[in-house]
This record gives sequence, structure tokens and C-alpha cells, in this order.
Amino acid sequence: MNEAHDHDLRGHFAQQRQCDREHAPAWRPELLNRPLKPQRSFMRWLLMSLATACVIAMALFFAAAPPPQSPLSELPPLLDSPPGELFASLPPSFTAFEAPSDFLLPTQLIP
Amino acid sequence: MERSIADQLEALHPDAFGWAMHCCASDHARAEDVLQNAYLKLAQERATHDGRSSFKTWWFGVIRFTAHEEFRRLRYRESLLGKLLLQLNGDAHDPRPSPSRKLEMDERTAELRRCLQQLPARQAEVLHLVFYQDLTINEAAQIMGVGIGSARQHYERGKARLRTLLQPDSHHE
Repeated sequence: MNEAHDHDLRGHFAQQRQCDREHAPAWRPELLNRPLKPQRSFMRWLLMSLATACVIAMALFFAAAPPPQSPLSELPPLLDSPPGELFASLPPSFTAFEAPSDFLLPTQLIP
Repeated sequence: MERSIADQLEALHPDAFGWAMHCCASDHARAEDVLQNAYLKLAQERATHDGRSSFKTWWFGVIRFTAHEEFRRLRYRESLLGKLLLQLNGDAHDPRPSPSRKLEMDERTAELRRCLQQLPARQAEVLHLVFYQDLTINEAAQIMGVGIGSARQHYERGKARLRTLLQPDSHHE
């Protein structure tokens, strides 16, 4: 480091330093003696404990609940339908149509 | 807090404010905030000196880190969402120095600040730490969190560039 050649720069910075010292805020030792904030930390721990307790309680509740019963056993007997053909009440389909015999045709059409 | 640390902080207070001013681009109000927040970190024991470096080096590192935190916060405030929230909250902060403060500032000092702001941040930092704070390049490198070789390179380039900028006819470039 060639300090002799840097004399010009040091002069500039020394003046800036002097100017800053004049405008620097006063030293306030009370800043260092400010008490900690245990209240905030305590509240944070309280909230975290409550949230954890809620999660554990919900987990225990769902783990201890009885398994759901089968819904078929609770159906009323009225819904039990007798065995039979499926769609028996519907009219026969188009493909099941049978044409009538020719006994009603006019006589001249009969060969 | 130990009495010896408090004494060291008191002795370093003016230079610490000068360093905070540099870290805050010569914004007086922001520098005060940064320094106050750094003191709070000490008071709340969120920053403790472990003895691996000198107290001044460590303390200036804390101030630099705090200034970067404040810069990020300011950038958020200047964003569109931040401005909207500030308007809703009615909290306004003008980072510019007051007109009276501007008048008070010495012209030559203001010129040096202007020139330093034209340098890359690393170069301006190392020059401030060496010439203003009277630290060695090695100590400056520790504060800046860079290697000694890198700091020396920033130092040499910064000196040359600053000399060019400080010449009277350099303002017409």
C-alpha cells in the first residue's frame, strides 16, 4: 500500500469524516439497556402450544372414533324387491315384434 | 451488557454512524435507523461478538448486514404493493435529506459522496473502510465478506477511478 501517494484521497475522506461527526446523532446508552421483550416470546410460545394441543386432540378424537357400520344392514325391508325378470313391466322391444299371418288378406291377392 | 462492550460501542459510535451513512447512500435518516437497529440487535443479544475478529471489524459487519436488511425493506416499501399498504396505514417516510440538511453539508464532502456513488459498490466500500475508517485491506475484506485478493483489486481499481472522478473537469463527461 503506497500511503504517500494516497494523501490526496485521505484528505478528502478526513473532511468527510469530520462533517459526519458533526452531524452524527448523540450517543444514547439507554439503547443498549433496553429490556428484552419476553411478552412477545411468551405469547408466541402460548399460541404454538395451543395449536399443537388442538392438533393432538383432533388426532386422538378421530383415532378413537368407532368404525362406521354397514349401511345395507340399516335398509328397511320395504326396499327388498322380489326376484324376477329385469324390466318385466316395460313393453316388449321392437326387435321382439312378430308379424301376423296372411289370413286377413283380400282373396284376389292370394295366388 | 458488559461495561467494556458498552465503552467500545461509545468510542466507535461516530465512526459507526459514518459507516452506516456510507451503507445507506448518505441518507441521514436511514443511517440513524440502521444504527439504532444494530444497537437493538446487541441489546437483545441477537448479535454477539465471538472473538474471531476484532470488535470493530465484527461491529461494522453487523451494521453492514443491518443496512442490507433495511435496504430490502425499503425496496419492498417502494414497490407498488408496499406503497398501497403505506397509504392505507397512513405511514409515510421520505428518505431524502431535508433542505436544511442539504445546506449544512459541506460542498467538498458532498462531491466526494457523489463520486463514491458512481463507483461500483465494492470499490466504494473498500475505499471508505480503508481511508475513512482507517482499517487495513484485510479487515475491510472481513467486513465485506470477500477474500483479501478481491478486496485489494477493488481497492486499486476504486482508487484510480475515484481520482479520475474527483478531477474538476470530470463532471462534464
